[in-house]
Amino acid sequence: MGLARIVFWKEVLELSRDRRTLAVVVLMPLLGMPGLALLTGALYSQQRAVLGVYYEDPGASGVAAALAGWARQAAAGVGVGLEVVVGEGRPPPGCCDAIIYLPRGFYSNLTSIDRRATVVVAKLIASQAADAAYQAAMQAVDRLAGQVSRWRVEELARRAGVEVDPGVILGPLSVRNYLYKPSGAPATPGEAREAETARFLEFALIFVVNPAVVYITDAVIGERERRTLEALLTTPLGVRDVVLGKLAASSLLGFLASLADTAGVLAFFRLAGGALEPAPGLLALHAAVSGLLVLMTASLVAPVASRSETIRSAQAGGMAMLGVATAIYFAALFTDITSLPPAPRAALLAVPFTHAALAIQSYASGRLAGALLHLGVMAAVTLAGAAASVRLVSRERLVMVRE
Amino acid sequence: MDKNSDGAPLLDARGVVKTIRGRPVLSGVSLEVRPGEVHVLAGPNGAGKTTTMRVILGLARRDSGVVRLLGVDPEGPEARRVAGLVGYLPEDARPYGRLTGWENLYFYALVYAGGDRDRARRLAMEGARISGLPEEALARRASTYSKGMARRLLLARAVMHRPRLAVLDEPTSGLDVFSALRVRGLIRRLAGEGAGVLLSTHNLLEAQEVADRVTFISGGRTLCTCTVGEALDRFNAGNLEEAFVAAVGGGHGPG
Repeated sequence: MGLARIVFWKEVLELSRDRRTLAVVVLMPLLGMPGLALLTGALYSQQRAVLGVYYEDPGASGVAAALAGWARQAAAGVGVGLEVVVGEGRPPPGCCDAIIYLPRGFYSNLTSIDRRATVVVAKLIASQAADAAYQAAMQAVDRLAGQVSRWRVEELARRAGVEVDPGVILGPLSVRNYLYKPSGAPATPGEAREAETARFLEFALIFVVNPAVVYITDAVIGERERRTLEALLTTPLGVRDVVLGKLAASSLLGFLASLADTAGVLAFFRLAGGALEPAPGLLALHAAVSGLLVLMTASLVAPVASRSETIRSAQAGGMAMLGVATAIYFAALFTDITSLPPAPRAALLAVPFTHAALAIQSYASGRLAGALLHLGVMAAVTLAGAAASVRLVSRERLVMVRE
Repeated sequence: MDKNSDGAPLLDARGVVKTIRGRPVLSGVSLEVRPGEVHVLAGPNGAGKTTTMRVILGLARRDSGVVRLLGVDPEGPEARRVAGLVGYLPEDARPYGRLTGWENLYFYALVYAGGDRDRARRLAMEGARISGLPEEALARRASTYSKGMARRLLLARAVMHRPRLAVLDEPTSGLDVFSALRVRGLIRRLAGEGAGVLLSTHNLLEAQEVADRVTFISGGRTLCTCTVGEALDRFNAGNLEEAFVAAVGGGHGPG
């Protein structure tokens, strides 16, 4: 490192007093994921919806009451506060977020052996609360359909004088499930949950890239704009020392960010309270990927930032990279990159950020060698970026701000 | 400066040309700084003083011309060898705001001392002495400094390692009368100890007080280099300011 370690010392000293950057680096990952859990969980459950069960057929009042009861039971599963009202006649316009309506003739058709009974289920558009009410309504209707089907099978069997198990007639297929890994070896439900968890860990990488972009842009261009760089470049320090010292400081920042991100992910899973649970090995890999990701991002942003005329153009370049990384990590929530056709997969593999997601994905699916390969790609890109930074950064570019 | 006039020039620049984004900024600047000499670079705003300093220090690449800084080309591979023998104060430099005054000095001292902490501490203490800032101020973050205090700190940082050549761009800019006097004394002392000082200033009356020689530049070109006495005689002027006005406006300009 040579004289670069002196720059590293100065950077760390400055960084330790830079509350804003530290707040972004530590608080964003630490609060970002738990914040998402709170927002998507707590706020969602705060929603209120009204489901109206209306009947025009006087004989259907008992069925309406049963449907209302089942919908209330289903409400616990859909997560919103659901109020269920029962009324006779047509549903008044705008009364509810979702409606179950039993028209005239419903009951006689329902209780016959060979006729279909019509149920109208409606919902308000553009409302997540209405979606939840509709889900509860459909669960109640499905439950009614199941009970009526069972009764009809039993009635037909009675009339035919045969003994049957209605369950076998209504569900003629016996489906047995099992899970397996890419290697073909069987996977436990725990391993399947870990693979699901990995997708959230890939998404959480978004919170690590942002501080890296902010820090390195400020460290290179910010120093130029604060007029502290010019004299430094006339000392025995070379551009190489300055760049390497700053990148080394960013690795320390990366370490902090990875710790905060891992803690944030753990908090997310605790708050979400779901079945997903990161295993210690996966968490350790996530921390390693996060740290390397910060260093890689810094080494990619540094040459762009150092060749920018102003801090705004440097930030724009950094934000473009952040946008690419965010798109990839968001897409990783819904897409298995390895299952894509060759062309889009190759395009994604050419983007260094993709390898951070793939390292986690590979590890979670039991491919340790694959995970190490992707970590290796990240390390190689980091070294290439650092070398490019040293080569591309010119003193003149760093000093001659457009005035 | 007589005592050093036989020494080889610390800085020798001849016919330096520099174009920035297609615009000629320097189109033939020549100057020479000898050991023990205070050499003032004078010129109107936009004349190319700062660019000249950047080119001779290797911060900007020249298009043509020759520069020898302590005997080496500042753009060449040997430039780093002499970097520790040069001190530079840019015109609009600022200290690191999140570091204390002492830490600002110590950081540069560490660089000049190649990481040797004991030597760095001694250099930083010398810097603290040169700055004249009280201990309490040196213990504070530099972001709390007035412009004058920051300038004193930066000047001390630029010369605490006893450079053979100090390049000072507007060293007294923003300083009060007392601080400016102190800086002028420091500049004379540096030259007295055998260092060469190249300084640019808008304040030509101040320049007259400290300069051994002066180079007038205008439009990116050297108009003349002479001693203060020669300048006064040549332009029939009562002071350096009048000589400068005569030099720039008296048909000596580039066009």
